[in-house]
Amino acid sequence: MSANATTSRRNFLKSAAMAAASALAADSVFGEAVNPVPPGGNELPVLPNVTWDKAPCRFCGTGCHVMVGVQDGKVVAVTGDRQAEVNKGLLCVKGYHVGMVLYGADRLKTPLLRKNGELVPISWDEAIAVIAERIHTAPQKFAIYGSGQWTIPEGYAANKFIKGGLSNNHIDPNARLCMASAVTGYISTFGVDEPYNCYDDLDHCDTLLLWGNNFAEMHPVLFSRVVDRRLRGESIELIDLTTRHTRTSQQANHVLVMQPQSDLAIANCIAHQLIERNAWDREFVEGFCNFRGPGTPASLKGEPITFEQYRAEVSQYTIERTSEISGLSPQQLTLLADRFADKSRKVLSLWCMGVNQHTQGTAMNNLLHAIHLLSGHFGRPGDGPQSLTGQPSACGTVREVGTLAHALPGGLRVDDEKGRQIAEENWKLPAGRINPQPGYHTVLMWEKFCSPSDTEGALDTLWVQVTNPGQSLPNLHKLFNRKADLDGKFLIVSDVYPTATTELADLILPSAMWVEKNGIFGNSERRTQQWYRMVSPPGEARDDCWQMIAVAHKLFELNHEGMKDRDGNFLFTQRDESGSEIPLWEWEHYYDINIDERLYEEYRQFTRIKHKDLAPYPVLAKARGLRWPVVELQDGTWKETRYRFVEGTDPYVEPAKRFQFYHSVTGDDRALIWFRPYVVPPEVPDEEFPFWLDTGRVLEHWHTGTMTMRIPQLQKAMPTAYVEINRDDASELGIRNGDAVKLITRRGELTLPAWIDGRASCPPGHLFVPFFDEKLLVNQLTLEAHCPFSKEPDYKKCAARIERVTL
Amino acid sequence: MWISSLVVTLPSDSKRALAITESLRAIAVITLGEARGVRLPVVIEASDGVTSRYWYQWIESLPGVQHVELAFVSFDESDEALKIDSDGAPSPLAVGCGMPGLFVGEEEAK
Repeated sequence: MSANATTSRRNFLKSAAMAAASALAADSVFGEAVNPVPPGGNELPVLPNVTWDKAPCRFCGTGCHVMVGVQDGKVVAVTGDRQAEVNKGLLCVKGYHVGMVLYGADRLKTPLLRKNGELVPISWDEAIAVIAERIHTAPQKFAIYGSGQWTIPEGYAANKFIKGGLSNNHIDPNARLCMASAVTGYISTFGVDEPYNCYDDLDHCDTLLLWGNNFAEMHPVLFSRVVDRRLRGESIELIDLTTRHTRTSQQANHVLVMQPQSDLAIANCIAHQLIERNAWDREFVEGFCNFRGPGTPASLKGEPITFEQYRAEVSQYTIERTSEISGLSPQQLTLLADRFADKSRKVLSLWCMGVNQHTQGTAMNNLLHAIHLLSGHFGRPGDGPQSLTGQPSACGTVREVGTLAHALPGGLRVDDEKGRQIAEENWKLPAGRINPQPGYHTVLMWEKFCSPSDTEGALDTLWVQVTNPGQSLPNLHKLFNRKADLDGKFLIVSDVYPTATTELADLILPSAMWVEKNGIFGNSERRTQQWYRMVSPPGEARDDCWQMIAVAHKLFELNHEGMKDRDGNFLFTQRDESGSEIPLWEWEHYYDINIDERLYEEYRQFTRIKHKDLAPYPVLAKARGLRWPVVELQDGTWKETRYRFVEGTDPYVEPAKRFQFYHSVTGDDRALIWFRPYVVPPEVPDEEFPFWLDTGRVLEHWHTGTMTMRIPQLQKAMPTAYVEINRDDASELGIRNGDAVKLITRRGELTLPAWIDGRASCPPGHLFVPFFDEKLLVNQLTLEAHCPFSKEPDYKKCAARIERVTL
Repeated sequence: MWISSLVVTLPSDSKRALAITESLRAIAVITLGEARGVRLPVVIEASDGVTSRYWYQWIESLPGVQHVELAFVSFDESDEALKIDSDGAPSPLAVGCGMPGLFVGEEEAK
């Protein structure tokens, strides 16, 4: 390129960059727009020969929309989508670089089969045949480990293939590791999963109470709403209830540093205070709630209790006792109770992994709903409890499509006869095809895969799609690494890059990702989001959904009965307008139709059963996501729902009911106020392992870093994992900033650099390590103990020791 | 050349806002746009992504800066300096990265 051309291009890019920033600066982003985007308009940078289209961001569960610029078959620019309600044009540092996830130098481009210990390239035909043969030989020893990053059609196809085709329910997603406790919490409280509210609450709350949630780093665009309101002069109180100081704490009015696990006691203490002060909302509770205790032994269903029994249970959690358990001062506990006692304030509780990755995760979710219901802080915009998710389609693909081991699409269950009948009817299966026995949840699935083949219930073939369990499972030595020493195990991995999981894979399938395929995600606020394919995948990489359908058809060719519907047709048969079957299993025909649309419309019939109605695909295609239930109005337009169970906003609430929990556990339209006791965690610091070890994420990297560590800006910004240690603890142990230290738990040890008073800081006796770094696998150290109901492991607390490494 | 743009949210105190604006104006690779209230559009021209990131974080660290939002990033040019470290090890060049002080100097614990 000539010097003139370079200068011209630079000036052009500068102009485009300044225009984008000026447009953003002109808006008060989440408030009243000074310079609103005109309907249907979107001020995009004008770049020559670049076409733009919408897509949700590939990373977290927020569901920001980006505009993707494509030139000559390549993504060349990304900017925030100003038409998107979720982010109004804003993106976080990961989102702005999302286009680069496609172009890492080591993209997988051809199927690889391990032969004599070496991975060698093979054809797709051979790869598909190898998988089909393994499954055909032992279908009940096969499992699928999927993801909250699967698109909705991908998850739906996998679910139908294994549950409807193989009569095998051994399918579970990585979302089991991040939000399963929220699912059991919602179901046991309201009778149906997913938040009743939405992000609009952030624009209306007076107090934002974060329960173990580093909101500023983990959901930075949503956090911008809080910052934005403050900049406009609004008073919004931020209370950070946390186990360590983070960037969120820096913005908080009150930072309440609690002991791990003590959140259970704190929530009960708030309930006790509300009753003591007679500040609970008697009218709301008597009108819309029942009380429930854990039962003996404790169970997910629990047992009914009276208000007096509830009062007696929570009365154990006095300010004094809770202060001892939690480490919070009586004044801090009183502050929390004050906020819930004040009905003039709107209080929003938010949580994510701190509450969900918890051996009492279900209980903690129950308690958060309980204090909001008891206090009547429920149902007004800005006033309620809301869980957030970490993956782009943990809600859409896992919770709604039902890719959990016990679930069927639309909130149905495999162990419920009526649910199975509905699924069999919708899938045109012979009666009785679906197995009534729930499959293995994640921890159990990997235990069974890492057990000798002659062990009862052992799994021999496991297909992983769109996730990296070799880095993200807890206690990796037990749940993953053992596979290397076992005979007869066959690990299939569909992915876009080499990962810790592909290290042990026997067959690697190169996948298309994000805008290399059509897709649909469902975000944290019930918003279903669609996008179209914009560029081609590299080499021979192909869609995950195609891979599943191709294997299904190979089994059909092998005359596997399960791959036939009740009329003998292939399970995934699709026909063109003339009625001829489209050979979708042949890659060259896969895009003859929009299979996403076909699968989505098939799936959509399930969504009406539990009032989770989705919009038709063409309607979705025009929107920046729509929050379900989406219902058709008399004028033919489609209306989304901001608040469920609330009269006037939820179309399924009957007139004059005010609130109606129409899937109520007790069948009387009431929600449950649960009592769940404080329980000591399964592993606590002792003389040998005197520290608490917490793990989590950082701003720059998303989950196991397989994408963000391939984006140079992000990798350079945060190149390695570290252990965060308190300054006084470090001093006592002779550890200096940057020193290599050995971190040891009962499950393993790891050497990594120490970081003192960095971005965040731990209180004495606490350590934190992020899990994004594939070269420093902290999950070799974590505990696989999990919530008895959600089966979600606790990555946030185990006992550890730290030693300075002497070189 | 790496070009990105930001919106810097200035403090409402006009003297402090002016001081920040002057600090930014003194940097050759930074071009200022027209402020809208407390929101100031800024373009950074850097030789590579690492340097760009350095300036982003430098702005973020200026006393009084309330918030920094990314508005635009161009990423269609090849850049040797942006290649992933082959061993993934922390680089002494990671100045201005998310871990200030860790690999630069020998800050001692108390």
